[in-house]
Amino acid sequence: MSQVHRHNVYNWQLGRDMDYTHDAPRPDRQVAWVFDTNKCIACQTCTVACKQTWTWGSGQEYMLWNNVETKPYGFFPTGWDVHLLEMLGPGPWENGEYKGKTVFEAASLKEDVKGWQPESEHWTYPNLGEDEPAGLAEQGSYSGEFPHDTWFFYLARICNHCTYPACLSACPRDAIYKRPEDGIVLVDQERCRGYQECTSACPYKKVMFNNTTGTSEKCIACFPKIEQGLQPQCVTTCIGRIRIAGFINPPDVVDERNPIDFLVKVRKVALPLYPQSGTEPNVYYVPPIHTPREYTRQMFGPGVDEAIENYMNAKDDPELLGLMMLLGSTERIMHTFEVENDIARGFDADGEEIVAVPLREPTFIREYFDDVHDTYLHNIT
Amino acid sequence: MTENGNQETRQDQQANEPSRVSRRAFTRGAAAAAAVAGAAAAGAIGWTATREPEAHDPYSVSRTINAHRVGAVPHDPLDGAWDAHEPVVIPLMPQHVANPRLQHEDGFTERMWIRSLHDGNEVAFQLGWECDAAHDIEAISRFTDSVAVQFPVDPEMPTSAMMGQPGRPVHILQWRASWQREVEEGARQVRDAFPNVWSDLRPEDVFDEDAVTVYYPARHVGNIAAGQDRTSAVEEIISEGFGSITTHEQQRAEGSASFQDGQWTVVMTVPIQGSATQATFRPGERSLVAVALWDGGKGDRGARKQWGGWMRLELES
Ligand code: SF4
Ligand code: SF4
Repeated sequence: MSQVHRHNVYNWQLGRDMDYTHDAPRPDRQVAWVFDTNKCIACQTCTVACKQTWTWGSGQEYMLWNNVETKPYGFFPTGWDVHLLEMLGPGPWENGEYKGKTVFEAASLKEDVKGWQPESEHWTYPNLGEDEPAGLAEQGSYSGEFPHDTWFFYLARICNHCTYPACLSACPRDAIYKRPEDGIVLVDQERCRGYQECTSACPYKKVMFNNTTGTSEKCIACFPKIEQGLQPQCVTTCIGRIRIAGFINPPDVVDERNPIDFLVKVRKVALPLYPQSGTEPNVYYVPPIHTPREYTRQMFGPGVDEAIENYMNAKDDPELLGLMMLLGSTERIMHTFEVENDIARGFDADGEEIVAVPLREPTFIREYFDDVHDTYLHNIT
Repeated sequence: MTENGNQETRQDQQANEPSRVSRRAFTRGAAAAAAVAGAAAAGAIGWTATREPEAHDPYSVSRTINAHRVGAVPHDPLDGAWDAHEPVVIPLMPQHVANPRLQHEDGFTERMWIRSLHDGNEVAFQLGWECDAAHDIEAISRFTDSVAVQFPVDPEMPTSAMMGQPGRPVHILQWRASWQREVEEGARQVRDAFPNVWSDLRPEDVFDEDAVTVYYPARHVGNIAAGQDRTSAVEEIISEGFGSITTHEQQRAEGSASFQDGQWTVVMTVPIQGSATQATFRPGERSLVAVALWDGGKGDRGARKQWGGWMRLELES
């Protein structure tokens, strides 16, 4: 409704209070993800796993609740983040506090959220800019130092199940809700009327219109799996083992044994995507180490330098290394982890061990000549 | 909440808590609290009218729509019977009260016209307006032309012309061009909007009908907007204020339309006998009617609409 009904909420990613359309208490638990951009190979296994599971009906042809785009020239839908940055305008950070405007604060008096409505053309090129680098690779050039002169990286994206969802704010029908038990944001398919206000409002463009049912649909965080203590499809199928899903504690609670808290709040290697949107997104990214810092900071905020420094130190940080080894090692949701004697272990909600991995896989060196069979064994793994 | 017979009474929407928090459900818990009681409750439990009705008498309005008595109401929008009566021209305003508001840079639809007839069993409304083209496909960023008429459920309990207010519901008949197309040409298909779309395998290619519906969740839960076998282009709705419109459990209204020379002519008909939650039209007694209009070509939908205030409605005895 109109501006007079604004509420003051705390957004820890902005380091300040902000205006929001609802008095939005944090859910009892908040599902959250960490994606390590440095390990993604853009195989799109996650994309296909999601599509095969949820969006192969007619009307959903173009829908990719999970997509992986190449930055800087890839976007799905086309130009989504360029539009976002343009709408918000320049917004400086001072001592960890965002001084610019969020999508809620930048809204005109005639709407609750500053947004833009993608046309069908914008949803037509999911592979735009794929593997397209920024900068020219000169003959004989060598990228021995960071940042690289010629670079690109892969950005895997799902709905962020935001703490302050813009999609929810914009729905005049109250058809979008955030579950108190896990913070998953869903579109009520009974109440939705297909107004597409949410598709216009979501800064990440992760609500999509179903052309057959005439309603809007979005990533459901594989809630039937989450409810059984399992990680979503895009996490468990990830070839690069770049992903982990779990529960993040509220900003004032830090549990060092919680894998998400550890990566986001203790080692601070994982950062929100475009925190300046103001929605407090709950997918956290280990930023790419080789891209120009200005670009990376614009995308992941002022924590980029510290994140990269700590991440680069992982080889001397057994806890961080151990946790990174646990990514992709179990289908179950890890509530806590520990690293002891070069073994990293993950535990479920009851504290039962669900997985254990060595920090370093043992190495065996085999003679290249096999005396028994009188043959060479090289190139055999 | 929609097809299963329950009507949301949206008790959370009372005047002592006017903020959007109370009106809108942030969590499912609140949504469930909002979705209480059944259709029968509309006139009974839980409808506390804490807000005072508008100070002025809504019947003091200058415009009156006379529903003339005829032998049988015409369902055809171009039936000659309509021409026997002068249409009433209604000036429209952009919806500028609730967000999101109508905000066209190139102007809005400033007027439409209305005629009404009844035959003692049914009342019919003929509505016309100018539109640059017929927009009858809903797809990504494409919206449908639409028109609605609204009545207080109880004519002696006047309510807000902006879709009613808590405890004072309105009964709405909404016609959509896209639904008209579906009635005439069959269920909505992706190819209506994207003629060259192709998919190798859809759920219906491998599963039987029952198993398929879960892949179309809005259909699976009975959302009328996702309907497959549409028989009417008009939806009967009950509303108690912004954001509260809910499909009525009983769908009786019918519609037909013609688009010619840049002009829509739409007819909506409904039985004059209503129910506890549907308007009853009594010949010789007064009631009110208001209209709303959406130009799909300009992206109108939901709250982005033009509307007209209450007018008197009188059915000839
Ligand atoms: S499956 Fe993993 S590695 Fe492959 S594209 Fe997806 S996120 Fe990247
Ligand atoms: S990413 Fe978009 S769709 Fe997902 S919760 Fe946030 S605002 Fe809503």
